[in-house]
Amino acid sequence: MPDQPLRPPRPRRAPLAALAAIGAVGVALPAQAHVDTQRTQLQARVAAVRAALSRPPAVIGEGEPQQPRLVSQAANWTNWPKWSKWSNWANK
Amino acid sequence: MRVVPRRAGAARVRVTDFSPRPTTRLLVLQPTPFCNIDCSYCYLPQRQDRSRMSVATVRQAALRLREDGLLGEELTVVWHAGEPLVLPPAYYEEAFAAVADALGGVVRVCHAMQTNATLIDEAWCAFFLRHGVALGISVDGPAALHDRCRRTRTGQGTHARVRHAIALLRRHGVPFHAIAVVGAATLAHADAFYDWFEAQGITELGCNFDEAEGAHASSSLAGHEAAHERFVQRLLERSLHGRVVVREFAAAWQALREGLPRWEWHENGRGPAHAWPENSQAMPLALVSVGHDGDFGTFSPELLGQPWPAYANFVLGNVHRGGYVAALETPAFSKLWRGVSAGVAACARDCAHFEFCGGGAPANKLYECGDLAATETLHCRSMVKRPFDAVLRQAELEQGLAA
Repeated sequence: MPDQPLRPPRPRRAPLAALAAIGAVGVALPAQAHVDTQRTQLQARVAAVRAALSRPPAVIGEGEPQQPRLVSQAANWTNWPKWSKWSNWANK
Repeated sequence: MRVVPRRAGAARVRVTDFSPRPTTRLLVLQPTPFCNIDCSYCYLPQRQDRSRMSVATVRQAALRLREDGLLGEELTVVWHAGEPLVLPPAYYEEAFAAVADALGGVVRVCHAMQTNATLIDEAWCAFFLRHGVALGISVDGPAALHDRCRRTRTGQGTHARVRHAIALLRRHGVPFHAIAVVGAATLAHADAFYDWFEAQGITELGCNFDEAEGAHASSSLAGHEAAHERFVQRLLERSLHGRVVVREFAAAWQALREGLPRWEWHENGRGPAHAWPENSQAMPLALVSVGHDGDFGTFSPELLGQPWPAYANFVLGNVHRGGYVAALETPAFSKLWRGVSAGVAACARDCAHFEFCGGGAPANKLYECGDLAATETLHCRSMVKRPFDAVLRQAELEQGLAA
């Protein structure tokens, strides 16, 4: 009868080569499922907003269509110098 | 925590590994490292160095872009780091002419300057108007906030001089925007902060949040992130009903409405493409920074010249000895790109906001986490995530989508 192992076998880990492909050092690997859930939820929220914004604004009573505050203000948010629009880097 | 070993070896990078082919959108020229004031949060290590960039170097820095085929339809040249106005208007007359000469009219050029405003006078106003300079002044809001950090070398606040400059700019009809550094002391004063800019008639405001970078090793915002979130929310509420456009909300709105264009990188020129949202701080040669001596780098402009031996101080070459595209094939760039691209890949994997950011800021990753391959930083939370989340929540409320 073969010897019984003193301890149960260690659980298998993700292949190191696969992790090395990331090329990072000292980076904690978060629970991927949690990140993926957050990403899916955020993208769904964004998609819902884009869909809503693509619809014509509601007409209240007999007046003009009411533009939401953000939409009406953001119409003026396009005049920034282009060098700062391309990234969040900016001079101090 | 599991630690992932870094890959050994470095394949040579070529400009053809990137699609579309890189174009330079922003050329950052550092005419001098010197600054006439001594802000407590400044990241620049050599701001007492009075060296200046020669006009020959200016010309060569621009010429290399043309020779390397890096020009698109429009190029912005930002004069920055240290204080550009310590050099006289006559210097820039020559320098602007050198840029125009080198680029030969093949691209629209916009010159931009970011200044502490303390040296602005009548002659500068005339110069700004003559050349249509996109002018930004650095001012942190009311005097009590501004003078905490933005001081002369003898410790005097500079707010009064900035207000004098604003009056001069107004009198001469010079358009300008403002960039403020928001620190912990600002967070409880969102209304006073906003009101001050509105009272000055400033309608475009960028909020740089106090960052841990370079010579400035720690951020006052650390430990105050809940207060920062309230500050961002209040700033959005005010900007929705006022005249001041806040850059971070404008950027968030654009990302929310339109998303970001994508670009691709083929590792070793083959294999599956990494398709990432555009982020000019993480795209090779989208930003090119040139120091006063002609040394150049790419990625986050704050990196160039910072003492970091492992990355050769982020210097990839010198405009007098070689071009920007050729620098991509050097071991120095390979090493840097390995870190930056690993950081973008890590963001793609680990961050829910990646589609709206494109991979963060390499400089902040390095200074906050000690590693270009890191993911979320205080900079991400301050300048990207919270403004984006605030704008998204507002849009949901207005569209009746809020839970």
